[in-house]
Amino acid sequence: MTRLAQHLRYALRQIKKSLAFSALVIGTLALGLGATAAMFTIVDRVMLRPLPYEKADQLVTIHETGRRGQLNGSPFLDIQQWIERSHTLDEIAFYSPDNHGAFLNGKTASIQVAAPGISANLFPTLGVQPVMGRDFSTSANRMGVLPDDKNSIILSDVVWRNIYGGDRNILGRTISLNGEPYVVIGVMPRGFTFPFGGAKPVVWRAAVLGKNDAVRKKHVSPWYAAIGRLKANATVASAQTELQGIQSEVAKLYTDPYEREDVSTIQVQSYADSLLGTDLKKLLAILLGAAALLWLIACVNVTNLLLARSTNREREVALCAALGAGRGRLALQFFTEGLVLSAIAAFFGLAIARITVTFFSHALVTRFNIHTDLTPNLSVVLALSGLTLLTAVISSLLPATAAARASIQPLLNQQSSQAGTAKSKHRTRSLLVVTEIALSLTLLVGCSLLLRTIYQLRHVPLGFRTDHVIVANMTVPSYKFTGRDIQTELYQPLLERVQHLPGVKSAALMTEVPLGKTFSMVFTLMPQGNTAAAVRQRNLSAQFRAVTPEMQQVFRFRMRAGRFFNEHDTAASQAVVVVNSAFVKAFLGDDEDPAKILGHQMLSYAKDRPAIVIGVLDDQHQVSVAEQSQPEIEICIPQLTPTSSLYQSAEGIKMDIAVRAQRNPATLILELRRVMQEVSPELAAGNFSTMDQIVEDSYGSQQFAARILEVFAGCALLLCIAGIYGLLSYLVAQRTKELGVRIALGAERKNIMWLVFRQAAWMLLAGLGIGLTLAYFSSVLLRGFLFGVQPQDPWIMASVSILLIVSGLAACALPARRAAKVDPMVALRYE
Amino acid sequence: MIQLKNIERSYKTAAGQSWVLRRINLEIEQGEFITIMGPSGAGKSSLLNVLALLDDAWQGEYWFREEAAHQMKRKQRGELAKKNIGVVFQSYHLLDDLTVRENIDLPLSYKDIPNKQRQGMVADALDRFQMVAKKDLFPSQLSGGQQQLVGIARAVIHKPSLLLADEPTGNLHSSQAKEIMELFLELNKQGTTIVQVTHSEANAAYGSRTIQLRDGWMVSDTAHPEFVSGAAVVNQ
Repeated sequence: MTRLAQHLRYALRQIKKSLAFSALVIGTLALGLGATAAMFTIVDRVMLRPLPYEKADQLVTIHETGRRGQLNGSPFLDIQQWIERSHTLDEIAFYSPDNHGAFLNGKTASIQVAAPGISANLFPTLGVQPVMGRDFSTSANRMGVLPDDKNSIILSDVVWRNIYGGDRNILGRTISLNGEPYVVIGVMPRGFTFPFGGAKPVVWRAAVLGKNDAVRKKHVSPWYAAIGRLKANATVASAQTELQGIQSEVAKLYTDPYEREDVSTIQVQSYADSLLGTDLKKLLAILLGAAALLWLIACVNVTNLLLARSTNREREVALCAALGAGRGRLALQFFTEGLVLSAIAAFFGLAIARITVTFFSHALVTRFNIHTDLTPNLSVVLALSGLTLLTAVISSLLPATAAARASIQPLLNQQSSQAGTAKSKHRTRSLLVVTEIALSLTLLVGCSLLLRTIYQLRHVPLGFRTDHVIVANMTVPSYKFTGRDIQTELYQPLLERVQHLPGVKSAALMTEVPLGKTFSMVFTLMPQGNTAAAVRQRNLSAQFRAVTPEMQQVFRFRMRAGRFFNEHDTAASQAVVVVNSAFVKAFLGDDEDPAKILGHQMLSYAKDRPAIVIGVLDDQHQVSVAEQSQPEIEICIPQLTPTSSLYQSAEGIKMDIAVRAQRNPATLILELRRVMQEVSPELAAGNFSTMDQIVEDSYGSQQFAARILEVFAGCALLLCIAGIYGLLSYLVAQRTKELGVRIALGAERKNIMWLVFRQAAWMLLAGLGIGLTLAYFSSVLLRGFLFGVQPQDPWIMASVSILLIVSGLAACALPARRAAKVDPMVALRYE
Repeated sequence: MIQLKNIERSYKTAAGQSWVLRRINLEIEQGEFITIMGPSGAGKSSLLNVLALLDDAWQGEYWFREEAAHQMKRKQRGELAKKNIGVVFQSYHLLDDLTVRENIDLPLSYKDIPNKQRQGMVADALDRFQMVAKKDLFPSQLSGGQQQLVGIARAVIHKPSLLLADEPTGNLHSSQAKEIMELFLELNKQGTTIVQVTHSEANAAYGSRTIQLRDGWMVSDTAHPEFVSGAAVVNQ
């Protein structure tokens, strides 16, 4: 213990003695550790977060899949079949996901919550019970809820504490949800939520089965998401195999052959995995790998610095050895110094991680749905501590070994290192710099590929204008307009007031702005017969939007044929729809003239109110910038009435308001919020953004990864330059005598500079060779995230190589100048 | 061949200006073998550095074959030295990472000499100094005497008219020292002007003229017994 304290004291004294050197080492390590800690914080929150359920690894989601891909839900009858026949699942529960939210009505204000309807066995399936009150009463079929609980509600801990102040007498109290009375029967434990990862506070309603649950019919029977618990000896794969067999039988129960094709297969997936797409997991793994690379570069850099210092401390080490210090003790001293430096760096690294994560918080919310606090927690601190120890071992290994192996007498006699030792250290240091260059190049190539992707994405013609457009997402309090026309009582007054705000040129309402990803509706056709056209049209799946005519003025898109909605399209006029070119292609076939679809009857606003196509929009990238335009059909909001079959879904759930204005967005948003609050207080809780930001956010993974890699690659380049500079400065200092001899023998300034540049060029070329090979293979990992550029793009490889060569040569300019200025007389006096 | 007029050299120190060479006037004729002697700190090596044109910070006049070196820029002086002067060091100053052949070739590599011609010159030097068998060895594999032989071969490879040697046998055994001095004598006989710095009377005996320095002043010159040093004048 005393010895350790002595080592620590000595290490601290060394740091104090050479503050600039220590600051350089700490700064370098802090970058590497900070980057890794930041990425680990993200990975911890996204991938490693423990789910608040008992044995969460046994929970699986079950989705029917088929011709049109994965369905979002299944009818109760199918779920019932699975649970009755399955031997791999202990329990299957279901819920109707409430993606659109509800309003919990208070005396003065309403608060948006998520209010999924759940089966009676959901909480037992998750292994969680209310901490206060009771669960929903189970019906005879063990999944349904008794009708008595139709108006019962269970609160989450967050709602109970934040909205009802943790009232212990809450049980039995009647509260209002979307204007309907519910009796509170339970409160769930703190930290529990379901579905996992939502931003809104949650309350749970009962999924009471009705007569529509007794049939399998599209647009009639309610659809539920299913979650099951594997038996102790079952696996996801065994459940998948078993349920696939069951599903083949279930599919046969569908009388409509087309609906049968949509449910022909099944997909069982771990619930934890289902919360995160495969792509995102892969991306996070890549970014964590990139952070690890940066950390490794930092370690290599610091090893180099410590090796240089150990050369200067050879006499000191020899003296200690001569006075009786054993090899182990000498090595331990170097390790202690490395550990102290790493520990201080870890402290700063933690701060860097916090800043980095805060900097990327917007992307983390939009991309990974992380709404929790991003302060590095205990698991991050523990991981960082382990990494710090490893850093100390890696960075002090070579200096410690060199110190332990050094011969004492020559060092004491000659007062400088032996030629052989110096040469081997020099070779080791060169190899370390080569490694740094290679790793930096790999990071730079990855970053450049993603930057090129973002550049390509930014230059995709979207088909609409995004400048000067502000968008507000609103959850519509439709319960307040029951029996009234929401169009005339909410939307029209809102739109008129917004249009009259100063600086506003036009304003429009639509269920979802292009690239909005807030409220997606899909339109499908059900033509009869087996003609080629009928088959083609049955496969057509189109984006469905309800919009106001002003949308064209806001987004300024072009029409390919016909016209867009205008003020003459009202509830009293002929019902009309607009489609886009992609829709025409899918509907009519590739070679048809778009104008041919005009006048075609497409859907009905209400019974006996069929709509005709009046216009064809030019294609837009409305779903994703990277994807081609998807088929789309738009209906006109002013034509909808409460009697319309589309009324509730098109007008009563979500609505975006898009405003084109020549004003500072910040002040306009304040006014917009005020107007919306005055029209209906619930609307004020909407999210505001600019259309440009929405487009930026839509780049998603690539944007996030590019920004992270920009930071990592920038740091790597900096460390690489510092590494080359440090090594060459050291070499010039080491070779002062040699340079003096060369000058005395006739070498000119240019000869000496060339000597230093040649040294750098050798390291750069070797580093580039290895780095390009590494980048060639590692960039393949990014293939799925690239757009408009190939993983092994030769231009990117060449540009990054040139950047590194130029940076590397710039880094050696100063040492080269210093070398050329060596005074031969001074140099030769070293003898 | 060389004329030094009132050469002075000083360093600025914390205590003030420290003089290492004072009013040196010296004329060196072609073919002479001069020995510079004097106690430590007398300015011998400083004078050699001035003669080698390695030093830039002296005052006075330096004429090399009618060329005014004192009026030349650093680069021109370097060119002049490169063509005409070879230097042998006490510690040999061979480059550890280069072989014997490469060390000898080093001065040639800084001149615009075609590679083939360089190879021929190096081969001649190796032959002349009987180092052919050792051409691929590194300095650390040679004895001190052999290393100094390589140092001399390197100094004369480009056939300089003036060879400067700073304590060339200082690190050698007496028998090795004798060999080296014989070699110098041989070179001198072939026409090379030699200026050596030494403490050894035996080595000085190989020379044709001895100059004594003390405290930076030239105090005697065997070629000019009537020489009265500046120091004596100042002391009077």
